[in-house]
Amino acid sequence: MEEKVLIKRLRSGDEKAFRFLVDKYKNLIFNTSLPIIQNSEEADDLTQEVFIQIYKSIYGFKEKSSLSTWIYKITLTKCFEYLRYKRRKKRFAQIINLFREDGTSIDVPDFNHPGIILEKKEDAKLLFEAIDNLNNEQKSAYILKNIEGLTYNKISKIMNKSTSSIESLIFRAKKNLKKYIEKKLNNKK
Amino acid sequence: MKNKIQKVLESIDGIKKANVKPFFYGRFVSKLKNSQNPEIIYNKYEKVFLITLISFVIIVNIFFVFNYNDNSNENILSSDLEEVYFKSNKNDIINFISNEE
Repeated sequence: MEEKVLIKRLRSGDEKAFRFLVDKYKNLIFNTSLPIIQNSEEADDLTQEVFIQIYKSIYGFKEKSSLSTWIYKITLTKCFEYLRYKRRKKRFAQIINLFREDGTSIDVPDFNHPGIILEKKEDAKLLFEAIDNLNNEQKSAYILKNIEGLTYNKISKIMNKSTSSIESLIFRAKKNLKKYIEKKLNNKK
Repeated sequence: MKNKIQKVLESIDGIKKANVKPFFYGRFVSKLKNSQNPEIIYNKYEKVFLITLISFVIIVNIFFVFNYNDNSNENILSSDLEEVYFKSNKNDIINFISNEE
């Protein structure tokens, strides 16, 4: 279905059009949010939230960018909103841990991306831990380039930055990732 | 070490796309219907409302506790004054009369 036709039908409340949209973009949104959220259940939940936002905002979509660019933007916004909420919850949990009688703490499990082959799982776990430590901009640029496989041009439209800014963000992200990985590997020794 | 770091960075090369859980559309429609439910407004603001209410009750209680303490002090003071006034009153009247005479 052509994009303009799809948008028109979505605005008219056509359920079949919305179903088409969901089927077309659900895995795109899920795969973008998964390395950011680092939890399959929560990423699934967030994917639903993104579609709810699309449903509510489709009338406000000005068609200055493509539908996929707009959807990526909503996905990234929702992911970082969710991470802020998760951080607040974690701070509260840390306070609760102080009062636990058995002295145990609620630990966050390591993230295993379902798309990584078995031999690379351990290394990938460390990499995702390092990605989690990047700031939002570096994280977005790195994930969109190296996991989603998007071009610099597409990423620059999604993030509203120039391609040179995106290149710079990815360069700094890689530098920070290397630093973090080196530190962790040295600590293990 | 550099090789190891590079190996970690390359661990996501060839990463396969993951899929959402089955029956995604059904779950999404259910969530959309719930999000349009007017009660969700209460659910969203429940914590804020409860915290505000409890804070208000505590502040009102503190206000009345301090006010009660202040009033009690005044009562003690006025009763002391009353005692002093009435004690001295009789003597004053007698003295006054005697002076006039």
